[in-house]
Amino acid sequence: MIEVIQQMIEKGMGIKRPHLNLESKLGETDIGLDSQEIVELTALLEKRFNIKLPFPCFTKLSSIGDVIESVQKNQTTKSSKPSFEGKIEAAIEMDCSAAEAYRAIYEMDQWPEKLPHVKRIDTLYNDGVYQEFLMDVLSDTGMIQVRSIRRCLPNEEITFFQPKPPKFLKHHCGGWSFQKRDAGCYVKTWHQWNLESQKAQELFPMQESMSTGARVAKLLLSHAELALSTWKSVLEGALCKS
Amino acid sequence: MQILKETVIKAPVKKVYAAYADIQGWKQVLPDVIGVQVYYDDGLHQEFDMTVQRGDHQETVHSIRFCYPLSSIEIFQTQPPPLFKSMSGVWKFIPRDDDVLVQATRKFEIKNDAKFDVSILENFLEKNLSSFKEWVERCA
Repeated sequence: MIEVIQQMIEKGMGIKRPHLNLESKLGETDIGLDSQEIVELTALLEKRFNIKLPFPCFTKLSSIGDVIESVQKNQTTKSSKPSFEGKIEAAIEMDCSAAEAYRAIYEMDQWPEKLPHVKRIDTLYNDGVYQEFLMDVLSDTGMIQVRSIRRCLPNEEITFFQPKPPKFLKHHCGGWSFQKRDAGCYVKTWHQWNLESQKAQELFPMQESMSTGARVAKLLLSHAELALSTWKSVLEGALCKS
Repeated sequence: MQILKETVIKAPVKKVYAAYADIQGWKQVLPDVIGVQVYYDDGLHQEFDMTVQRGDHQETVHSIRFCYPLSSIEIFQTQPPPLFKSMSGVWKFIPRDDDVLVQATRKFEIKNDAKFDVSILENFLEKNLSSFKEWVERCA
């Protein structure tokens, strides 16, 4: 990892330094970074290793060994248990089998015929388990296009992520689960996300006692509940017709 | 078609899993990986391009991974390597007393008109496992 950090300082920050070792200190006496450059290095580490380091993480007296230890500790924590800033879930009972509910949500090509707000689906990949598709959706703000990637476990679960989430989210993923319950089924959906803080605060500023995070959670919960009630109507309506 | 290869790595499962999950770190583990462009990574889901040196030419594949921390990593390629119609697979991490059994499977279809020696893919998979074994055991 020393080589990666050396490259980061030399190529990423444009600062030429002699060969680093574990004892090299970030500050003036060794590598010569000032406080701003240490913040810049921290940001590069966060981007390179996709981690979030505490602030302030390093000082001029921190060594390369300290930096590596912090990154590795954070990587292990992150990899063991990815954390999301927000999570909501909603569930509903439907008067149809779990297999029917699964199939309706699995067959995205059929959505434009069933869901009024879905105008077009462009399937980019579908091997029966993994799917990638583009979806044109009529939203409150006009037509938007969403790209979704999913993993489908027949009749049990569909998980998804949105590689390019809305501007106010940094990450967005979630899923659906399907369980038999009495004569019908129990369908649960959930969303998890991390905020793109600045954009989220612009679009959803704190309002009365509700924080930006709480407003986003409320919005996504309402979307989840609407999706469930719409699918319930579609599936139970379809059953009545048959 | 499907192939399965496995190895045993003497390290905690946290370290074994973390090495495989850190897609940017692959460049350090595998000398033939010359570039990784990550488009999305939330810790559970990843989308990226990986460029590898194959003899005198380079190949770029577009991959998507679903990660199950400390347990498994599933991969599929919407842009598989040349000669392949489809490519997907999984690494399973099975902790034992003082080591981890890593099982790697690949499911693939070769293009109709392509001639491909499956032992080449088996060698790549074996190299992948042995390189990670060496890397993780050195860093553990």
